[in-house]
Amino acid sequence: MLALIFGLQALSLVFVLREKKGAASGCFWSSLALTLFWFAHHATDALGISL
Amino acid sequence: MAAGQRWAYNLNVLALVCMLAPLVGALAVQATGDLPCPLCLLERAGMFAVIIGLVMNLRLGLRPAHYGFSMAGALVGMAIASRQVLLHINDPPGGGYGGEVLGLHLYTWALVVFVCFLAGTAVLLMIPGGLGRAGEAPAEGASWHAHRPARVASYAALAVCAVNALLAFAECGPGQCPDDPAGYWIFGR
Repeated sequence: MLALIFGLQALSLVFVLREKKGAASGCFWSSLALTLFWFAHHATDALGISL
Repeated sequence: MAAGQRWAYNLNVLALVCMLAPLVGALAVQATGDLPCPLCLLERAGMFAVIIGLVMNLRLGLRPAHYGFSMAGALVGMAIASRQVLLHINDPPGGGYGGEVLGLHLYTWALVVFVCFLAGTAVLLMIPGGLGRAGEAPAEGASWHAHRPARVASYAALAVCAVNALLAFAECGPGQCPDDPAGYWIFGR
């Protein structure tokens, strides 16, 4: 899952360097949403809540 | 106006290098056998989110939206780093997760980096004439093709991000990473 986040970010950088802003934005927001989801997952685990 | 754009462009390159330095340092620490925890990896993801916005500025032109990308990444990273600092704030001296650099744990440094970035972006956005306009050619010295350090730093960022993706997969595999990893998933831990 964490590798997927970094993979999406690397892909986003590739799209930026190739001047494909739409695709880069898509990968950026997907990776940020996954980062937030994983963070929430970790935080709720510590509270004894399972997502 | 052109001078403002040059200043902003050069400061974006500087911010990119400053954001890459802790990521390279973290990889060096990882190479010594100190494996990153899941929150540490998420902080790195926050730094790469910041970097994507900076590379957009360098490659596609200085735009408020690109600063927005970076600031969104910095806010997410700051939230994650704050949580980790608060998790360990009551630990006895010498406690906390992982080693220290200049007396601070890496997650505390991550929080410092995100806060400094947000403060720096506030300054960057205040530079007179520091933003480009759509359809307008960038000022001389503030364009991708005329700025070798910008190109080198951007490709270095891509390489570091790809290495992180491979290492994260080697450490955690496709599932959840253990809170206190003892070895790489790919080597059977």
